[in-house]
Amino acid sequence: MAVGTNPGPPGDGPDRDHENTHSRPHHTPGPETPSRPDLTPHPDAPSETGPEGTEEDEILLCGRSLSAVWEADEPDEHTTGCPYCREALTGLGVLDRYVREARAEREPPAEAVTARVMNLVRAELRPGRMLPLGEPVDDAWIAEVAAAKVFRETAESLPGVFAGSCRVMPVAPAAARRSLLPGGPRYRGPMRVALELTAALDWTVPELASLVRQLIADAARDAVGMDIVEIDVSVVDVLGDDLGGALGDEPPFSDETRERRER
Amino acid sequence: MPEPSDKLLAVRAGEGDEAAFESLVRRHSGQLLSLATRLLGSRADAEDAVQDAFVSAWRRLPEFRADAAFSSWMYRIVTNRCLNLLRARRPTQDLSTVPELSAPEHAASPVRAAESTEVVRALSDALDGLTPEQRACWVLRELHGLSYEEIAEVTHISQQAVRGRIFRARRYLAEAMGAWR
Repeated sequence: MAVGTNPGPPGDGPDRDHENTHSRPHHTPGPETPSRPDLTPHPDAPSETGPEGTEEDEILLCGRSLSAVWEADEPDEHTTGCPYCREALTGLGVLDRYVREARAEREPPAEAVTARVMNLVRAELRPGRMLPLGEPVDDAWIAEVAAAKVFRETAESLPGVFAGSCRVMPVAPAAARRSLLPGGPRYRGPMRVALELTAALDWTVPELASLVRQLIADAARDAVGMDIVEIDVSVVDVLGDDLGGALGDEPPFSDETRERRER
Repeated sequence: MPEPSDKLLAVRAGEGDEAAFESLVRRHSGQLLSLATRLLGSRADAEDAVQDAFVSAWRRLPEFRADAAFSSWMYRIVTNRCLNLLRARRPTQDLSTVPELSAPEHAASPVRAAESTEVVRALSDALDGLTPEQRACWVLRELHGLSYEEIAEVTHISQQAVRGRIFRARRYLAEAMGAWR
């Protein structure tokens, strides 16, 4: 693409980075475009196309492009002997020393921010579902969040087990939908629990699922006082060292292959 | 002692588990504060940006699809918030007839003076010469080690555009830091 011949698609405008750049677009061979009255190469020529071989690049006096010199893995024979290339690499080397020091800087202490965030979060009321407790005559209710907390903690009392999603809902889906309507009749009736687990490899799925179902049935009856008639336990991940990559937290295997067993 | 994954904690937080969300905030706030400080050049502004980003994340977590990594998602929220702040700053600076007015604000931050080395401060000052977009791409690549692909995702631009911005940022900074020496 020649300099100045194409103003680019309409959406390009706000993304253009031309301010403050010191790069001097190299002269493109061939006639100047008539559309631009100023014949000097303009620093804000349309450009979001990257450095390599584009007008954004800068041609050194030896004819090499700056981006090629900077992005090469190893300096080649020309670069090693060329004063212009060496100067360009020295400039990058100076910058690299700053980068190394900046990267090594300790992370700022974040306790204050964490505390402020959690104060705000706790002050926000997130209305959740209310679930029935005990007998109809009791008219007692518990927030789903509170019931889920008990069931997760119950599952996590086992070694090498973390509880993820935990939904507690009416057995009949239609009743569940009605009970979600604001001001609608609150559903009373048998409930089911759907719990997802991450477990260490030394558990077998059937063994763990059966044990967790028993523990949750006990907790629902004794600790919560809730009529739970169905408990679905899924093991969705294996507990392991899976914190890899710059942005971390890739699952150890894909969704297609993960083991998912329900009762 | 193994720890629960971000993915698991994000699912729980999305279901209203505040303790799970607090674990996520503890785990990521240092890194995000680093990022915001490097993008904004001010610790106080960075703390506000990160705080707002987490509160916004808490509200949006019920709709968050756990197939995206929580940290990428937070990088995106924080980066976008910082970009908006930087873009909003620029007209004010352009209108100012005395450009030196912006300098004391940097020098005045005691936290910054106490905890940054001279080299890091010099780099931070040079970063002010970049456009917000160049700054974001360069900082994510060089200081946070993100790949071009990850940066493209965080900033919603093509990988090619990311390469271009990083090259121009590098070109500018190499010159700026050389002059400082």
